[in-house]
Amino acid sequence: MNADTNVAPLNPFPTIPGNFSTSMNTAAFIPVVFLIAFVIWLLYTLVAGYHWFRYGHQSWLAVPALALHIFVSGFLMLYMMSGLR
Amino acid sequence: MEEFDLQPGEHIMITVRQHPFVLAMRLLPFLLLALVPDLFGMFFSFVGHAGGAQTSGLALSAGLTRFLTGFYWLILWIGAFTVLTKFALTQWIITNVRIVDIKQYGFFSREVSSFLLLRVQDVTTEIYGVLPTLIGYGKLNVETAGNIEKFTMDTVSHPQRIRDIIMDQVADLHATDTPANTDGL
Repeated sequence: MNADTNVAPLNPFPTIPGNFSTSMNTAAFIPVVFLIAFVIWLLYTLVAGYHWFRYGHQSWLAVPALALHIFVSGFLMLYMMSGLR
Repeated sequence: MEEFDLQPGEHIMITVRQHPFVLAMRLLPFLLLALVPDLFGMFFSFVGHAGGAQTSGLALSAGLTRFLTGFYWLILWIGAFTVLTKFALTQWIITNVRIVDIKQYGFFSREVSSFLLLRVQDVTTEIYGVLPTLIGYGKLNVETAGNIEKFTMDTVSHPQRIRDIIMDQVADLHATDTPANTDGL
């Protein structure tokens, strides 16, 4: 009877500690996601700038519009990274 | 300007775009979608207070939440700026000789056509609805002679004023129909 009390009960679904799992996933995917987002943003900005300057027909709006785009995008990217260490 | 070059004696009279109200209406969905993370935050905050500690497992870390929210807003901003770009690059350029119709459907998708004012037969404006009447935007149709061709620009600002400018210039061209107006174009 003593032998029965020393045996640990079976656990059919062993769980991984929650903190370990979350921190590993976050650390792995955030730089990748940020890099992908930055590359897409950079390509988009180049294409948009090309269209504004090529087809804007000397519009006074082109430079302020692109400056606004870069400012807002930069702010959002800084915001994305601000909470991470 | 490779799309069209001004001929000698030709000058731009007016450049016409869609009404800014139309741009605002197109940007409104992006603004509403930008509020979604805040609404989610308020919802989960409310549920968290109501449900106590049991719902704490739903919460992400603050840093990850910021990252995902910023990523979402960046995508929305890119969509909104695309709308702004299409709005700004879609225009009619009315010179003293012709009308250049430029339609920007998207990036790398563009249509440019021009027609001489001397070929213009009829210019009509259509303003339907309360908001277009109050704010002052509508549709401008220009029909040309020769073949059955109709150029349309939707939701332009003050279409009557543009119609008057076009018709005045057409009348001037017909009154002084000199070779300078027709040669080389």
